[in-house]
Amino acid sequence: MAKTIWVLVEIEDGRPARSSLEVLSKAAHLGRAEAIVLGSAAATVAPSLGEFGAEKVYVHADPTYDTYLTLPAVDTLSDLLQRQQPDLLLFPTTYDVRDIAARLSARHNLGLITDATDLRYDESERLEVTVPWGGENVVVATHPYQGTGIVLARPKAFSVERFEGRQAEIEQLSVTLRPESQQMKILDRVEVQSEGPALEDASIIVSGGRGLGKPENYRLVEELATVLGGAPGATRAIVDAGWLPYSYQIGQTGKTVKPTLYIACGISGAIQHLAGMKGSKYIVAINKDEHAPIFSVADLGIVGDVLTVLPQLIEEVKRRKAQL
Amino acid sequence: MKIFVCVKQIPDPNTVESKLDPATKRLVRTGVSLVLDPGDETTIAAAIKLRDSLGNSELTAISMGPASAQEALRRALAMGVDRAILISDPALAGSDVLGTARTLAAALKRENPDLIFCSTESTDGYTGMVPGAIAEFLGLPQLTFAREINVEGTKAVIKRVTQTGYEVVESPLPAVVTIASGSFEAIYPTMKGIMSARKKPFSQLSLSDLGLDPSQVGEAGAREQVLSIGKAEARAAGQIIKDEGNAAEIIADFLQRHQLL
Amino acid sequence: MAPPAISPTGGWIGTTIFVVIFLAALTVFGLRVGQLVTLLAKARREDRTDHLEERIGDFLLVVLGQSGVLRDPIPGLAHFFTFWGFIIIQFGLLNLILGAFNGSLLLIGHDHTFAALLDLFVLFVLVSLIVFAVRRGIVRPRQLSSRLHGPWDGFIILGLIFLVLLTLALVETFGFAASHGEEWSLLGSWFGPSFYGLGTATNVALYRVFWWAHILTVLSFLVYLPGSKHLHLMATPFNVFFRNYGPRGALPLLENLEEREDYGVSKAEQFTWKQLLDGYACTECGRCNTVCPATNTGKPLLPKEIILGVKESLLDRRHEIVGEPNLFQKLPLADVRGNGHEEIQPLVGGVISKEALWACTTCGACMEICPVSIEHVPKIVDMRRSLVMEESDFPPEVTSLFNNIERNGNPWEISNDRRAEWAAGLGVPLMAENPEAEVLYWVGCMGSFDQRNRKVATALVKILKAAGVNFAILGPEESCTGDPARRIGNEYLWQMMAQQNIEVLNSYGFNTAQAETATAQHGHGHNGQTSRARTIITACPHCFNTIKNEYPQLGGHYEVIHHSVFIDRLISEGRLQLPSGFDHRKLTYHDPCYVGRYNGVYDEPRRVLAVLNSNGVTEMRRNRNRSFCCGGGGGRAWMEERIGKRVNQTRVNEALETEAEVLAAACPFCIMMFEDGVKGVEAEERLQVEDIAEIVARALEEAATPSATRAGQ
Repeated sequence: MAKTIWVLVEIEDGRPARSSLEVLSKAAHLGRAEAIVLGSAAATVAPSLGEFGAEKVYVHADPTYDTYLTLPAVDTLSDLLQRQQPDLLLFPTTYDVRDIAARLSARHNLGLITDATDLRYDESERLEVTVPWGGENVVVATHPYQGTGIVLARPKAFSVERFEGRQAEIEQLSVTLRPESQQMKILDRVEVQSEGPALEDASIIVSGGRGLGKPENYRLVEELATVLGGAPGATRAIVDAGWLPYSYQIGQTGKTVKPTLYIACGISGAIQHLAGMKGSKYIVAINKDEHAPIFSVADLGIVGDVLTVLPQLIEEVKRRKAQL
Repeated sequence: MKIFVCVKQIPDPNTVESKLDPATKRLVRTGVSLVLDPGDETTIAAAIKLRDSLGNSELTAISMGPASAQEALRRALAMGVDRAILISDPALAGSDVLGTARTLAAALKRENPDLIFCSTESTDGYTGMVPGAIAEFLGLPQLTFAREINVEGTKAVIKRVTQTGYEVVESPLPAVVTIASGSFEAIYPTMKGIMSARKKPFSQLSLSDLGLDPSQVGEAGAREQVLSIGKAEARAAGQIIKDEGNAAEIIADFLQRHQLL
Repeated sequence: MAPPAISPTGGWIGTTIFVVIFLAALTVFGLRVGQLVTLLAKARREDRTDHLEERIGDFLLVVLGQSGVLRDPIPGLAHFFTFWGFIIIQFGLLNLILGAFNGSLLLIGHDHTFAALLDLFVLFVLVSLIVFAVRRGIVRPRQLSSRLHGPWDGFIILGLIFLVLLTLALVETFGFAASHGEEWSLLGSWFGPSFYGLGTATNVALYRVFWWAHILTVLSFLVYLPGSKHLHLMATPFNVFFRNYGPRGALPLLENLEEREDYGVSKAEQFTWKQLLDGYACTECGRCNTVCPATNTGKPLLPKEIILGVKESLLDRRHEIVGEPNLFQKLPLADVRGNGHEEIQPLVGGVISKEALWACTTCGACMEICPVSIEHVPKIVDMRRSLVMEESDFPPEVTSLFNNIERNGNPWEISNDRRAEWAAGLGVPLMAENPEAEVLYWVGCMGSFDQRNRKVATALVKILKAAGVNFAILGPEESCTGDPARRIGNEYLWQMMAQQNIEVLNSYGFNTAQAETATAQHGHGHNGQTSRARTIITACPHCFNTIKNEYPQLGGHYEVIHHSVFIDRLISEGRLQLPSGFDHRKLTYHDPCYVGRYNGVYDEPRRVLAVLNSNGVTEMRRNRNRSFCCGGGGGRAWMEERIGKRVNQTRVNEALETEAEVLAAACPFCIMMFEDGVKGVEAEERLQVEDIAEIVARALEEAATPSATRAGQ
């Protein structure tokens, strides 16, 4: 029998969030995907979810969810869990969903596996969740009991797919939201215009060094950062040389960063610089000098001229992004 | 106010590659240098700052872990925490998120806290689930991803980090607050701190002190099971390629393979 | 004791008035000086009575010979004459005072030679005064400005000295005129006869008027002195006598860390008496400011202001330190600060800014140039200690440095297990594998982990092998020496690291003190090693300095040699055969602070380079003991440099001025700073930064393959 998998779908700017759709598509492959959408825009979002794999959508279009964090959603999901026993709650890993998942898990004693990059049901219909651990290990885990479990998927672990022509059955939930759960109130939402690179928070950093030759060439670094959705950074050498303000500097002095991807362009890799970025998950380095120390920490090293490689790479990334 | 901060001792994330023991399926903690989670250092700094600004408040660090975890608590005391509690019991080994949260919540309940600080996530496990579960077990609101916190009367107001900025969120006290890493500057202990840490109150609790049943915690109570531990795709040791006109493609392939586009 | 020709007071009434005024002035002077001395007596103890013979010798040279100030010739000579003039004028003064009691000085009281000498010095001093006035009033070098005593102190002093000279000349003139030459003096004989026409009575009256004017000027000077920069007149001789005779590179040990009440200095009275005496002795000449790399690159640090800041803070806190003044001391005149109740600022973060303290590279240029042996760096580090260990208040980027040193044994987030990775494949034994090694190569963190400095380490290994030296490294048993921690002010961490390293070094029998006792007993040290003094060499001047000069404070006595000296020795002993003049590139050498100024090594590296380079060594404008820091010392390598010009670029530009193609250094920090500096000024094409060991290793390769292209050709 097909497994029933619930996906909590978040709404971003009036549309289903990409991270939710990734998970929804995966759920649709694993079994019967059912989506839950909460919040004032829920009703408008719900009908489109069939196309992304949902067979059924539970909707509760109430603005309370938009103002009060976590608890109203936990209550609603909890009520729903009293009525039905899905096999799995497969949620995206986002700021809000993490909080909801943690409380649901505690309230219903549900096993909780986070940071999944893949999951499947084996022949005996046992769930197998793949979780990378540290740099060296991959763990395969399961919920060792009958009943519902929770899995949080790593962002971008799955791709969004379209299930042409699929129509989701829509069920309006009639729950009464409890006033005592309306505690964590959002008073204000503030968008922060990023001034200069938000290096510490960026998950992708493109950084430049003296190998760029001239200050004008730094714009290639900025451009690549922009197309990748990352932030541009710099070595002490070019900050010292006055190409860029100090806020760009990465290194022992300067900022320490740990992005998922670090692209070092024309950086030789003095220890002062390495100290600030070697915690990056993936490091790509482009440098003319094949003996440059940066290559000793790089996952992918290109021995070549940054001024040739960067323009090509910018175009290639643009091209592939358009295809996604 | 009675303020608490939950902390954890972990293998030094800066020098030790986190490893699992295939036999026990647990984190390797022997033969590696163990430190107070660097994320907790900033959380402690946030808690100390709040305690000092409130005045007339006491800050207690609480940790669950083996006996060695007292070192991490000593560090917290040296940083300026007033008191420490270590929950240590062989039955706790192998605890999952729920087991850990249940244990910490049981210990916290005895103390009637006004405010409980946690890091958003630990630097070794990254689940980020324990604070929410503690809040649920204690029936308290949770304010998460705070990069700033203020107490106004019986309410706490935080700036909660979002993808594009922040939200201002308030909740009544008592509450659980998680601090976004990097929002506060860690405190380097003073000599006075280091010396006085040896004399500050330090209590140790076992499972029976908390009235918890061993079946609810540790490996026995875990709701997840590790089936197997495999080797990750060996991080290809520095693939160095000479550019022959196709460097852009090679890089783009690499990015795509690692889901970075 | 012949009576003077004319009684200056004109009888017992005048003499009585004189005695009263004289005693009153002396009392006020005494009270003021007493206050200053009491402050020193309340300060921390410190023993400065070692090396007595040298102390006496140096005292004669520096105080009587004025060797310190003479290094700057024009003001130096002027000072020389003022100093000696002052001493001689004192005798003249005594003679004049004795006149009030109808007496004179024995032997010289009426001696024409003395009188002539006295007047010659009056003239010399007058010329000197003009030099000083021109410098202070017209040339106005920036370093002379005084925040503590205000802009007028210098001029008041010059004015008072001028008045002393003028009144003395007038006394002599009218003494000569009134006595018709019986009261002989050189100036009197020049000007006196012109006043014969006034008549004896008038001349006697004028003589008396100017006698009083002279005496009163001198007494005002005496009263003014303790509150002015001319306090140095009294304090400097003591300061020179009590200067530091220990190793210059050693910071004072902070003892008993576990039970202390305070860690470092946050209040002036926590300094030792000698550190406070420095403030009294400061002549405010500002030479320290002229050489300071921080001052010279626009940082908020002026070494002179550190010394004066400590003095100011001490005087501000005099009542807190000594207790409320008694009735006598309440006389405004009797108080060095005029008894005003000014608002008292804290020493650190008030009188002296924290930014100033953090700007110091501990290069020691200030101490090197100070003519009166003031110790700036230990004071700065003492105040940093308080900031670090008491307040946990330091540049945030330093936190990770401290944590890394403590946890990983190196300044980075790198596991210390990987310390020997650089040597993989080079055939370098670990001490554990070769415990009998004669020489321990202490690689240091930079040599072990920094890619650039690994090349230096590799080069040094080549040299040691070529010379057939039986050596080994410690590998993971080696940890950071703690030097950056100590200089930033984290004495606790330094002691922790030092003890750990001392234990390791002792276990291999390197401790010379231990080796001696062990030899005396059984001829065997710990670990079963043969006990003989063995050598530690290192390419890092910071490791070198702290192991050599500071580890003894914790019982670790070792023979440590900097690699430049060791290489020089290998060459002179013929163990290393080098092709002479193989390198034709124009080369300049930078003296690292902790090799040069702190340990006096200047010639050996130059000797090595001179052998190799056909052009010899081209010197930079500032060289040897006046070398200009690279900017990386004192923990500065781990801190941001946000204010002013870059120190490293300043020095690199100086190297570029010589048109050298190679900037040779002998310190991994200098190399790191200069590599960055060269990039910063975009001179990669023109200037190479190389360690001495790299140059020598290349010469060895050259010798092995004589046909290879010669470097620089």
